[in-house]
Amino acid sequence: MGKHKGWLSVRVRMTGERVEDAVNECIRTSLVLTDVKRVDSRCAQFYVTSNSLGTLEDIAHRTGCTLETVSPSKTDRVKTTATRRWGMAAGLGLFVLTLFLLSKMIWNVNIYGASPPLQDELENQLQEMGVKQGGFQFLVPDADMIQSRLMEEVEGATWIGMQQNGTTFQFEVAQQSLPEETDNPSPRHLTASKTAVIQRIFAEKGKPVVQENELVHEGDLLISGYIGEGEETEAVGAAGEVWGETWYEVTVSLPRERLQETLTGKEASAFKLRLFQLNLPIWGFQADEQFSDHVLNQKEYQLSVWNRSFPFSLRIENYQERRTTSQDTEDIITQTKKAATTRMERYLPEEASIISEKILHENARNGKVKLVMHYKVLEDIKSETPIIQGE
Amino acid sequence: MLEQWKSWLTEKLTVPEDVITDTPRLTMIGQHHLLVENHHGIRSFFENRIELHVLDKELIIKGEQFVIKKIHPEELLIAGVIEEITYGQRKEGGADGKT
Repeated sequence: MGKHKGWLSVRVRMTGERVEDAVNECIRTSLVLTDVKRVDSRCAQFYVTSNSLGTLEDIAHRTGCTLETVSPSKTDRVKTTATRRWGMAAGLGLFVLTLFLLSKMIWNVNIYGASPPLQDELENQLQEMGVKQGGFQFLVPDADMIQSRLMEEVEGATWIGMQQNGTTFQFEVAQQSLPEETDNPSPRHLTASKTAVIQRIFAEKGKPVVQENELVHEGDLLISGYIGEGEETEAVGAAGEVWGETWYEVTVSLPRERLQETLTGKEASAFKLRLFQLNLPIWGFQADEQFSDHVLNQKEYQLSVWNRSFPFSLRIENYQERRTTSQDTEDIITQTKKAATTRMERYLPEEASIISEKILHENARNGKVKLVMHYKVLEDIKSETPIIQGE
Repeated sequence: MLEQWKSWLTEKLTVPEDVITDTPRLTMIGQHHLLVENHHGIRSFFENRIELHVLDKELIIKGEQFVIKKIHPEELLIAGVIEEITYGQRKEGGADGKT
């Protein structure tokens, strides 16, 4: 009977005149014997668990029998094999351990439904808790803890849901949508922010004190916050729109002759292996001498393991042929004007518009064109001045 | 005295005899398995003959290719080809296994 009963059962052969007595003794000490088989008149074979071998030996000694192990238990055999091939066993163990650890790592953290700044904050918080790529799942507090802590720490989220899908942590964020800040201003006047001629004035709240086509200077009152007369005067937050015509002077200078660089499209690459301070060319020896003028792009690739970099790196130098041509611009005035307008538009707020432009002064000296431009601009000129009450 | 009381109890309570008294219970499945409960040890054991102590008697099982599948303190399972089960008078001293 070659099949084993379990991992611990040992096949034992007992020889002696009083085998039955030994078996009876076993029964008395509650020792379980299985598959008892008579081999001959003086000998019986059976299985017994390996941890009760000691008791059995005792009994055999008392009844004058000899004990002999026919085949060791499976566990013992595995142990023997393991000790003989310990390298293999260690490798196997290491593999299983690695697999286990890798399966217990966090491979991905996904956040859905958060705006970029909120997502960034969330990521920082999670990182602090250890929820990041490459972290271990068992080092991270449990889902409820993470959720409640995130809700506490991260502002701007009504609800944060967490779900773990295998090695991926998914966060679902319901973002708070705050109501628009209601415009309920404190008592104030509207005054001019710069010198201008009023083009259009509309008082939503408050009393206008200037008229169209009137010249105002910086700080002049436009719409008063006081309404009512005499005793019933009341201070309100003045609101409205005041559009005025303003003036700007812009000076721009451009060189008459301009150099323009273009790439011809021809390129060559050189590969170099960098070992410590040494440069060893591998490919493309003459790349740098190929063109009379070139743009150089360098890339360096370095292998690194856990913040430690290897002492060698691969450097790829990419040479692109460059050609420089000089351009003599014919309509230099137009170009300069355009540059000035662009600069003006960039400076002005979006709602403002340029009404007209005029060249005030123009001169060319030392190969440069200098232009002074004058702009008439329509823009919002109001600024708020609070009324301090209790004076 | 105790034995008498026990048998009276089993009669009155109508429970199987082997539960209270130490009477053996034999369960035989076909010709191949025999389960003996309440045995008192092995007297002798060979491939074609097994003698067991039961109560005050002796149980003799004859057949072929006997293997005792398992031995627990109160239970014993025999596998093989069972041909004959007989009761015999108990002989003192179960040491000599050559009966």
